Amino acid sequence: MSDSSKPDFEPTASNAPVPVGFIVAFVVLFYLSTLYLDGNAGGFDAKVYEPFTSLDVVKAVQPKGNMDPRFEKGKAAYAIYCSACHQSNGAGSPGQFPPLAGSDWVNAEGPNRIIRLVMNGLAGPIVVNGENWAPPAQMPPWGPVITDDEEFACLMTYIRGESEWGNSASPVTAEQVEAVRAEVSSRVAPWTQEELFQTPEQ
Amino acid sequence: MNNGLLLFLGILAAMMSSWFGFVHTPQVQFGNLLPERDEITGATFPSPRSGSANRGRAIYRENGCASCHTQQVRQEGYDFSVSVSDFGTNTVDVSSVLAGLSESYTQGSPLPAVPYKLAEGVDLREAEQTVKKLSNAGAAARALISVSGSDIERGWGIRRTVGSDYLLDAEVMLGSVRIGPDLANLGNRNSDSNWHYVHLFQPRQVVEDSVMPSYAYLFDKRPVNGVPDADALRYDGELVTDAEGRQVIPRNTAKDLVAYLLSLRLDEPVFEAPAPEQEKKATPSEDAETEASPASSE
Amino acid sequence: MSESINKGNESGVSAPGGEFEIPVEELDQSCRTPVLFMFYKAGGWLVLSALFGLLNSVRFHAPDLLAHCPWLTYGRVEAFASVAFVYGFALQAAFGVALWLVVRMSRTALVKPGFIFVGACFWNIGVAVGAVGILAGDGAPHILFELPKYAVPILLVAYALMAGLGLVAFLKRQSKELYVSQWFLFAAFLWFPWILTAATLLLQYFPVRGVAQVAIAGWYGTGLTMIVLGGIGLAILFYLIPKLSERPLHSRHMALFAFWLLLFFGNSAGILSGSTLPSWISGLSAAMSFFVCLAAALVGLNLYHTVGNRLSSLFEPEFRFVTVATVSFLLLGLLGAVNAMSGVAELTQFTLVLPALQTLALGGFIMMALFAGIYHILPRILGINESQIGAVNLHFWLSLGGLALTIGVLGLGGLLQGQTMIDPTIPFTAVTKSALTFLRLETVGSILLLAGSVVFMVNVGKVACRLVCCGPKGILSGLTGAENVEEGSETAASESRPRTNAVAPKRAANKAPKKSAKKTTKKAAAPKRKQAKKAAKKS
Repeated sequence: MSDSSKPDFEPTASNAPVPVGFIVAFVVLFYLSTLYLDGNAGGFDAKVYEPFTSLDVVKAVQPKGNMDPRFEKGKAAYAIYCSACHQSNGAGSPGQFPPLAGSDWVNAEGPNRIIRLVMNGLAGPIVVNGENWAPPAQMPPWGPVITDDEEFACLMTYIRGESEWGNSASPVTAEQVEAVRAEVSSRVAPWTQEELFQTPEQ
Repeated sequence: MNNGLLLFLGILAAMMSSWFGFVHTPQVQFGNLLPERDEITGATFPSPRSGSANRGRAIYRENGCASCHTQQVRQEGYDFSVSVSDFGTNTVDVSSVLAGLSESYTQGSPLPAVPYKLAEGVDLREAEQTVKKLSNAGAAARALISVSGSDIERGWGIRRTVGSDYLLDAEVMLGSVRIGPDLANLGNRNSDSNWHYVHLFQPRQVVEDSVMPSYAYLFDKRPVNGVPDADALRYDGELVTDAEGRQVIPRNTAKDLVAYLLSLRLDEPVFEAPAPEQEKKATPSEDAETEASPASSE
Repeated sequence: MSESINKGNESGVSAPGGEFEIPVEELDQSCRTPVLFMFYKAGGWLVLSALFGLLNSVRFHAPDLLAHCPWLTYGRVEAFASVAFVYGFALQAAFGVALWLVVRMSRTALVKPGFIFVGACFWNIGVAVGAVGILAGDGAPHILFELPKYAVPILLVAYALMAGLGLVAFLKRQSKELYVSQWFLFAAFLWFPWILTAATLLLQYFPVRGVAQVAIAGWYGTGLTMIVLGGIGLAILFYLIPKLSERPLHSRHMALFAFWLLLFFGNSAGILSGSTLPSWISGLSAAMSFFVCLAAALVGLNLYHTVGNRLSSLFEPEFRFVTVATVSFLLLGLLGAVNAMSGVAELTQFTLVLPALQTLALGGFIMMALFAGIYHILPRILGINESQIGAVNLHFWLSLGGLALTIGVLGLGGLLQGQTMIDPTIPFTAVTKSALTFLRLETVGSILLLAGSVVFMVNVGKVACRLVCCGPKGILSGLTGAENVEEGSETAASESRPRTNAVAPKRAANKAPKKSAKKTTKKAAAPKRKQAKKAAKKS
């Protein structure tokens, strides 16, 4: 065999067919791979690592802030009373209702003016974030509608603290609302901008 | 397949497909990521290493440390628990909700101290339902993630490693075999630089069963003339000496390498791998105290 | 050369090798010098690699060994051994074998073998520069891509010289049919410069950021093992098994199917699993391992049918290296798929199972296939009898023993290490300790491998010496048996064969200085052919 005197047998190939089993195995394997990758490849997203299975899962497991019950209560009240005009995203509507998101009135250091404004409503022009607004309709008083001081305070807390709007002002307590309510109990007319300016912010 | 051109084209197609899958796509997806900057705190992630630590990284590469040490941490799974930070004022409701949720609490008994953890080891859905129930009763609660895996339980990191951890490294040295322990979180596990010097000079002086080679050439050896130098290595209050009784002083290369080792930290959650927040240890300095026992870091 | 080919076709002269007019002896001679040089140098690198491997293995007994020598730290020695093995031995020997195979199967003599020789010299310079650079601390931190960046351009120039002329031979092929081995060689030769250039540019000259480096390094490493070295290894198997059993390959269709499976799925199968990479990369990579397993099964079945009813012949001496290589390849395909399964991956990740699998691929499959090829080629290019090559037997058993021990011990140790590593209550010192026994046992494997590689180098060196040092007389005497006293009874048999004597004068005529050898070949083509014919008739 190792004798180099014999001319080498140079290999050739015959034409036996591929066993059907292999073709079936290939197709099955291909199908299983696509199934597997569908479930385990994280949607081919670069931000998905094991053991997470998709970008949605990664997003869902991100740490969330405390679910603050007062905030949630305020959010619910906002949806009932305010979102019709100021929209659920707090952006208001141009020319008619000024925005709450990012507003200097809402985000003021103290809630003194905003409580009054919501309690008795507002008439006449108003400057929001340096922009002149002349709402065609006056804002109705909400004090008589929202009689529970705690609910009122929660609403104030929500609009001042909604981080999705970019607001991050301090929460409001029921005591603060109670104090203002007592102070303005005799007032019926809505506030004007000038009158509110005379009230201290805090 | 007797047609050379056809063969060539087929090979080219195969080359292109593997190039597309494993070079082009990764490069497009995460080859151009930039470190993230937190607008509020001004901190960047990953946090940049000092110049000394960067030089140390080159020494780590030169000596092929990655052939025995990995810098990547696995994570097997994750689950959730619920943490109550405030039970609120509605004691009666909270008490009844809590009694339904927690086995160790009976309705009517005084509320436990906050922060109070319950429903440990549940999935996200269940945790969120629990939070909702508590919130409706007026308590402030939230779902907390916790991660599991042998690497994490060994203290090798608070979470798995992800791509963005290595954005600032000119060469990524993940390693593939753990003859020695993983180093991804070494700076947190043992921040005692002196320990690292002694360990590099003579591993068996600090870890009895260590198989790590000695890296004595990173140190100057000088005979002691009277009083030993101030920066000579000491361990347990005693002067570290070589076989000939000379004192041992770290060279700059050793200092850089240790600075690099201490800069290895895996203690910040990221988007790709959320993890429980941890109170951070202070950045180690030359004379930092260490809490980690030397044995646990080998 | 083409002129003479045309002439040959016109005159209808048929060479003894079949319907082709260039006799195989002439083909073999055209690549003698460069191929022999490559084999010899490859043997040298193999010994160096085994020596450094042993040094690191001894470190597990005496960790303070050479602590004061920065050039010989564990990591650098490890990278050196890897580069010496992969680039110095495996690729170099693979190129040598591949050149001979291309020439033999294309039925065209190698043109300008001098350039290939120069290319091989450059290659060795490149590897040496790289290896010394690693010891000096310039290595890259990626497995199978440890080369410093300044070494790669030298390697690429060397490769262009070698592969370019190989490609010329391939393009001028006289054979109508492209045999299976040629597909694999062609793919390997196209693949190598592509992945080496891409990896060097993207990892060293213009490094990509973050773990994209890991993906590219993994892509390069798998491509090098599976397509370049693996392709040449498979080319050897597909060539030698039909040839040695003197039966045609069972099925070219099965081979073709396996070829495309390997090409499309082999480049990225398996190795990336478990790294810090997004799930889709490890998932895709794991899925591809199963296709490679399928390809391995196809190759195995094909070769099994080729050998047919003579299965016992696989254990005969000339088959042994091929058999071990084939079995290793099949095991590799199977274990690659097993290792990609999610339950197993967690256990084997970051353990010694990885080096064990790597040894199976590079040692068991590729190294053994290369040995088989080299021992097949050496007697043919030197015109000697196979039994005249020294201690092949000893080499085989030393290599097999070393490989089996290394792979077995590392694999077992890795499994144990993995089992203890995933239990966080076991301190890591205990994990290392559990692996240490096996790492120490592995030293025996390293010693065997070193001994085997020394025997190999001596085997190649001895026959090369005959050619280089002793001049024409050495070859002559080797053929006529004048100095066969040392060879013993083995070569006595060859003396009695008539043909060896008949070829001898032709070798002598060809022993003119290498540069003029080619011209001589051209001029003396016709008379020599007659001689060869005579020789064939005599036998």
